[in-house]
Amino acid sequence: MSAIFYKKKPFDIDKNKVDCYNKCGYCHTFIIDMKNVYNIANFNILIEYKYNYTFKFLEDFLVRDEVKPDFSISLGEKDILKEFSLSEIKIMDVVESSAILRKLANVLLEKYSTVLFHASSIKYDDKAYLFTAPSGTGKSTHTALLKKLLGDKLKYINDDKPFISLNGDVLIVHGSPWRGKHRLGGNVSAPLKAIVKVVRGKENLVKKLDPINSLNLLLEQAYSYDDVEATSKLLDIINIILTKVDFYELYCNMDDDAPKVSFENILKGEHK
Amino acid sequence: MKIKREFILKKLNENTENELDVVIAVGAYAKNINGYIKLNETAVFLWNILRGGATETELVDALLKEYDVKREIAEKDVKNIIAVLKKIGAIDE
Repeated sequence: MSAIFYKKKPFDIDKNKVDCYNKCGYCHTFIIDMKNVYNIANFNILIEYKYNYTFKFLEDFLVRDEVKPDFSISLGEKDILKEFSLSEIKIMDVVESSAILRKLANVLLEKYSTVLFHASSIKYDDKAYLFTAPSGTGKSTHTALLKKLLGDKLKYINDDKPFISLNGDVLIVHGSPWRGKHRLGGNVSAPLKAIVKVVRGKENLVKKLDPINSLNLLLEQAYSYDDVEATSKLLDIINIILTKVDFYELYCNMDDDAPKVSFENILKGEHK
Repeated sequence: MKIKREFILKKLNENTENELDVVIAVGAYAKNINGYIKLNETAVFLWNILRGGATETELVDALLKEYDVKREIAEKDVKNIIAVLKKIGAIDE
């Protein structure tokens, strides 16, 4: 266990950041080289990391038995530097967990037909529903109201970044450790039934969403992959989602009727 | 002229009434396009030739060979499409 307080020297900023990641204990309680297996999106993944924050972050997905991992994730200098530059929060432990997500998302897409989406995802009647919207529009508020309405009949899959895998021709939504500030959701999965675009409106109303806007929605909310191969695979999966999944537009104000409208028209039995 | 590999063409909803040919840009080029660009049949045809590289004249000739269209129209279409592709930065000269 090493926690060294590191003095900042005025040279080579990139090298400084790498040293900061590897050695500095200034911002954190301790740094230790950790290697654990986690079950995420139905895979056993060996993840190497250093920060206690990351340990706590991933804890609910930790596999405590001896298992052979399907693959492993570790971070190199380039990964840390890239994430540091992209991250709004310039603190190494947050940067580490974001860098792990980026690496994981890319491996899962490259090798396992699994994409990452920004959405609040719930499970009802053994089916998964994704509620999407730009940040702050109220998708989490809406799923929270649905949870209040339906109680134990509704389970959270993931309130922020669920994975969607394509197995044969079945799309399955999986939870992930990246689940929003209230940490809602866990290692839960269900087949994807519908995707709902949440829009603020005066009245509570559900409409079917047309194919063009459905495509726009998916492109906007998909995790951004920098690689050409990965993006090409993303589009292939988006193509399948467009044909297999129901798309809705949910206009809602924030009153108590909103979840009822959403439940009656989307979650419950027959779809219009 | 050649299409940069960071620009991807995909056919979505194939064989349905919502069939769509879209172009997406990756990485640093993503900001050049607002989401995606829709291509019509002619544009897709020319895009696929440009993938391997072609001059403007070669593109016009290919159009004339494949489609029943007058030379002036073909030349105009090719010019228009090249202009759009250059505008979004998809072409390597």
